[in-house]
Amino acid sequence: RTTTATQHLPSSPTIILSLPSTEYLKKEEIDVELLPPEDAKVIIMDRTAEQLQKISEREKDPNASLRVAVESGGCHGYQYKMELAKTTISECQFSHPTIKPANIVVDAVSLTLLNGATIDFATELIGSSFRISDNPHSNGKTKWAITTIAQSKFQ
Amino acid sequence: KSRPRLRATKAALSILFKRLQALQRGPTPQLIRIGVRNKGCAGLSYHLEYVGKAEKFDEVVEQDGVKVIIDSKALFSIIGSEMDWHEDPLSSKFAFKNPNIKDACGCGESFTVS
Repeated sequence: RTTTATQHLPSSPTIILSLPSTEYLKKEEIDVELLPPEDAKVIIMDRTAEQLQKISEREKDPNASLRVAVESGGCHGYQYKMELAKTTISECQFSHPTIKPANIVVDAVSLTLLNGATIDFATELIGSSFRISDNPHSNGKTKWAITTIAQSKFQ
Repeated sequence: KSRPRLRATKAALSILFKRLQALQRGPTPQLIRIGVRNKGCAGLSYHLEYVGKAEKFDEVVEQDGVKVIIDSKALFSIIGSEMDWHEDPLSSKFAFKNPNIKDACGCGESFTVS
């Protein structure tokens, strides 16, 4: 499984489309240390990007993105929440280097717990879904539960 | 006397049918086997795999011409369940309505049986 996973890794690093401005965070009173652009990193696998591209085509919207957030809850304190979203300037926007459109948005607070993680799209016999793998902030013992709340409408 | 067994909804059946049809066109016809694995925070999670034939004691369930195999070790935890196919904008997967579940993980990925 590891070998197939590496085959889907992008050839070049993920592109950062935008990061929220410090003014915005200050205005909204979001108390978070903004990561410098050179450190902000979310790895979008090729198969993830392909699926995002398909979703974008289906929704007929090049801005359709996958929003990944980390919330408190679940069995081990944190859980992932994933939904379909329109990109917003208030969040960190990532894009796959070659497959387009394939966007992922993460809010500044969630990014502190998600930075460096890999967004995978796993296809198994039981079904297929987006998954977070290799999150450096999650230790092996407390594997985070994944909660996917998908919404058919953008918000 | 009729006993509880696995039932599949129309959606699940059509997906199973498509998958099995594709598999049967291959050089070695295969079947789908449903089992459970010790995985997830609640202890058990469903596992689907392709197999060549049913093992001894495995339950073979046939409904509307679609045949699936239930792992004998998983029979206790999934007997009487309903198999469904769920699709939403981000994912698509088989979902089980299981009357034996005592407790489940918040994300629905794993469960405990009494």
